[in-house]
This record gives sequence, structure tokens and C-alpha cells, in this order.
Amino acid sequence: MPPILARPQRLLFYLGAWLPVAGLLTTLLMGIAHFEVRAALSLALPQTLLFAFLGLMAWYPARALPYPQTALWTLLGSHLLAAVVSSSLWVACGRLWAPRFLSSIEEGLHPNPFDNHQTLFFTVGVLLYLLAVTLHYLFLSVEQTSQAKRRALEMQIGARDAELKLLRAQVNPHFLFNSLNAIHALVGNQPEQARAMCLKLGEFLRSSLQAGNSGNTDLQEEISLALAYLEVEKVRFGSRLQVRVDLEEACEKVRVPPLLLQPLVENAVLHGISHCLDGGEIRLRCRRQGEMLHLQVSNPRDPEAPRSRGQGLGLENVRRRLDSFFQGQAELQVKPTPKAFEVALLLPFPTGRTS
Amino acid sequence: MRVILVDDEAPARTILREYLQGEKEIRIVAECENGFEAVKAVAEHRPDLLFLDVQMPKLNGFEVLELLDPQPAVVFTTAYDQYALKAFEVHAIDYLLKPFSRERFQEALRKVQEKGSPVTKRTSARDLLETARVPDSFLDRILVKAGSSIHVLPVDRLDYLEAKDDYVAIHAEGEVHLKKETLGALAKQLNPRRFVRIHRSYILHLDCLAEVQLYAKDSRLVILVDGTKLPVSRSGYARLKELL
Repeated sequence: MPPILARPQRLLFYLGAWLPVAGLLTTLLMGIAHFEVRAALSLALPQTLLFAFLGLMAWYPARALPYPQTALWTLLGSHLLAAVVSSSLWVACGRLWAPRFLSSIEEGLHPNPFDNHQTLFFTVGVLLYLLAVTLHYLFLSVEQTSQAKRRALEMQIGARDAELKLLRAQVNPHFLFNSLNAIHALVGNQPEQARAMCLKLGEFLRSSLQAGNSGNTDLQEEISLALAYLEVEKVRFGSRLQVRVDLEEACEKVRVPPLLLQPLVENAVLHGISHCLDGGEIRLRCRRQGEMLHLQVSNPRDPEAPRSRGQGLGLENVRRRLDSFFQGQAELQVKPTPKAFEVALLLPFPTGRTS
Repeated sequence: MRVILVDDEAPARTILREYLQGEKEIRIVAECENGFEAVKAVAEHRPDLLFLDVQMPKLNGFEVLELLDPQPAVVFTTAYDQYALKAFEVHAIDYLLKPFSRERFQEALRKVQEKGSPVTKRTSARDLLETARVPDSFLDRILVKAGSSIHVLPVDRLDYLEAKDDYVAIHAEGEVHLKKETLGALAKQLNPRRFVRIHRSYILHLDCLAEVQLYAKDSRLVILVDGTKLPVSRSGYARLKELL
């Protein structure tokens, strides 16, 4: 639908813009066909209205033949053809109903100007049509520019958003609180453990910041990072947190986006293990299956625990980064059951060529 | 003073134990890892003071407090939780934000020793829970104590609730559970689009509604899917109509 029709105000504006044309027609009729004002107007107005409608229809071919892309000859030819057709139609209509409009105003017989000055009106019609087409192109190009601007802005916001999420994944405040608390507790009568934990925490933060700053890392690093995180969490969960890693050697060197695994493992702890009265085991499995690498993070969960939104957002973030890193070739699958949760990542296995 | 420590994290309990070592008048009678153990231990040992962690699996600190009758003095401990903190501020409850220093701990202890925890005196656990609730969320389960065991009733399984003096009789899947609570307090926390106050003494779970009948000139009753009939007041009927 022509955008003009999208809003009533626009339509009125459009029609208003045709008033000068009505004026032109009136002048023509008065000058060339020697009409009086009233007679001229009574014919010019409906004719202008008809042309306004025809001009509106010009939007469709204008949109179908976008300017820079279409060959100039095709463009000119098509629009000229359309102009001829439209103008002929216009003149034909004029011939048909001019008598009816004119007889309703005055008694005297007026010669039908569309009969007598066909060529003139035809030419005028063609020119006006081409003018309408040009205006449509102008409008389309303005719209394109504003759309492009909006898209660019959206992309910027998207990128900034992802950046922030990545930063947050690197240094989760809640995690820091918990760790400090655990260290604080150990310092009193388990100073050696406290020290070890400080070191682990430092290690984790350093690797995490490093990973975040690089564009990619290998799976082995990612697993180490996730394990370092889990080591820290083990201090506060004690025997309630068990970890099992099942890693095929072939998987270690695969390049992946940084901080892929750690958010998944963190989810497993925060939304899974922490709600289970007796805790449970988080399992990391990685094996090659044909052309793909299967990476699974699974954990038990309490069916009655409240489902939190945070989990969904974290997964969304990982999914988006996977998409962008592997260009749609990777997949993230979520397999929830009432008592367990599994996230499976399917990554394309590098086949020898540099990725 | 007899004290029970409740926290799911061992390091947190260790700290409390350490800090309490110097206190001569204080004796730790039990340590609990979760809310269920805590309720049992309080019934068994009748402590004077409870150090209660808020963030625990399955049963959080507020829910535990709600189930304790009578309630001992309580000092809450919490890692950062903006909603819990809000509840504490609003009800002027003393709490310990982890990690906390020995000085801070002693300050809280003195307050309790001198005048007893404000929780038992001024605020009910239900009010605390209400304030601590994440805004725009409703109760998704009701906790009922029966002897030494605790029933967790997901609201989906409720049929209807009936007021009975100081208690509310909760009818769920053919069973009845009594909870020391007012019907109005529960009504406020249940999703009004699914749980309708059809009468001064009844709240109906909409899913269990079979039909509404007119049985006298201006009186109506609802019939549940299991055949039970409950009276409906005029205002109750208005509420019901709005939702149907």
C-alpha cells in the first residue's frame, strides 16, 4: 500500500499538493478552451482528482523498480509506458464525462476540450505522471536513509549490550561475595585452605579477564576456567557439589568463543545444585560425533524450585555469541526434565583447514 | 542462652561458631543445614536465639520463621539480596550481611540479649515474607507444619481455603491441612486471577470450579469439580463474574 495512504493526514496533504495542478488545468481550460472560471473549475477538479489517483498508483512501479539497481533504460522505458497508458486513460475519461460536468453548470454548449485539444492534455498528462513518479522515488529514498540509520543504531546497541553481558560474565558480583565470604570463614582455623582459595579465585579472575579480552580461546582453556570456578564454589557447598569431567582428547584444541562454558556451569550451580537439599553432581562431557563436537553440561535440579529468568538470559547470550562466532553453524540445545537440566552445545569440528 | 545455627554453607556456620566461642553465656545446641532440619531442631531444643540464613535450598529463612511456633529470637544472615534487605529495612529487623566482622556480630548479639529480637515482638513472619517477595510475584506454594514434618503445597494443587477461627483449613487433593494464619493474609499473597475470595470465609481455586448455581433469591453457591458446594457472597460473586 502506498505509504501515503497509511495515515489520513498524509492523504489530505497529498491531495492538497495536487491543488496547484488543478489550478494549472483551470488556467489551461480558461486560456486555451476559453472557459469561464466556474466551468473550468467544474471540469478541472474532478480531472485532477482522477490524476491524483493515477499518480498514487505510480508508487507501485516506482517501488518495483528501485532506482540505482534498475538499468536506466528499463526505468525510463517502463515509466514512459506507464505514463502513456495513464495519460491516455485520463484523457479518455475526460472526454467521456466532460459533457456531464459542463452541462451541469451552464446551459450553453461548450466544446469538449478533451476532444479538441487531445494532444495538449495528453502531453500534460504524461509530464504530470512522470513528475509523480519522480516524487515517489524521492520519498522512497528518504525512507531508505532513515531505515538504514535506524538499523545502524540498533546494531550499535546490540553490540554494546553484548559487550556489557560479556563483562558481567567475567566478574559476577554475587560470585565474588560468596567467595570472599568463604575465604573469610576459612581464615580463622583453616588458613592454608583460605590461602589456596585466594589463589584459586585470583586464577579464575585472571583467566576470566584474559578470556574476555581475546576473541577466542580453546576448549581446554574453557574447561579449566569452568573447573576453577567450580573449585571456588565447592568450598561453600562442600560435599553438596560434585563435579565430573569426561573429555575426549580430540576436543581439547577446538577454538571457541571465550566464556562459553563458565556461564553454563554457573547456571548449573545457581539454578540447579543450590536448590537441591542434598546437592548433586555437575557433569561436563565432550566428545566428537562425526563432523560435530558435542559438549554437554548437565545437573540435577529441584522440580519445586522457582524458575528464574536469569537462566534464560544467560543462555540467550551464549546462543548469540555462538551464532556470531560459528556463523550459524553451531547449535545450543536445552533439555530440561523435571529433575534435571542439560545444555548441549553442538560445534562444528575443525576439519584441518584454518578456521 | 541457647542458640541454633542455621545455614546451608559450612563455612558460614564455622564463622558463627568461631565468633560465639568467646561468649560465655551462650551455648550452641544444634546446627542445621536446611530449613527442614531447623524446624525440627527448634521444636526439639526450644532455643532462645536462632541465627538464620535467608538463602537456603527449598525452604528459605523467611519460610522457616513462618513455620516456627513459638518463635525464638532471630538474627538473619544474608549474602546480598535486595528484596530481603528491603524487608529488613522496612520492619527494622537486625541482620548480618555476609561477610561480617566480629564487632558487627557482637553488636547484633547484644541487641538481642538486651531486648529480644523485634521479629517476635512486632512483626510477623508473614509480613516479612510479604515485604521480601519479589514484586509482581505471587505465592507459588504454601508451607504447612504437621507435627514434626513440613508439607510443601504447590498452589496448583489447592482446591479451596476455608477460614476456621485462628486457622485456615487448606483443602488440597482431598486432604485438609491446617495453617495458623488469617484468610485475609493469604488472600493478599495469592494470585487474585486464580484464587478468588468468594466469601468471607472461603477462597476458591478457579481451576476447581465446575459451576455456579443460584439456589435462593439472591444466594449463590459454587460447585467444585469434586462435588463440594461452597457459599458465595454478593461481593464474592461480583469478583467471580469479573474473572469468568
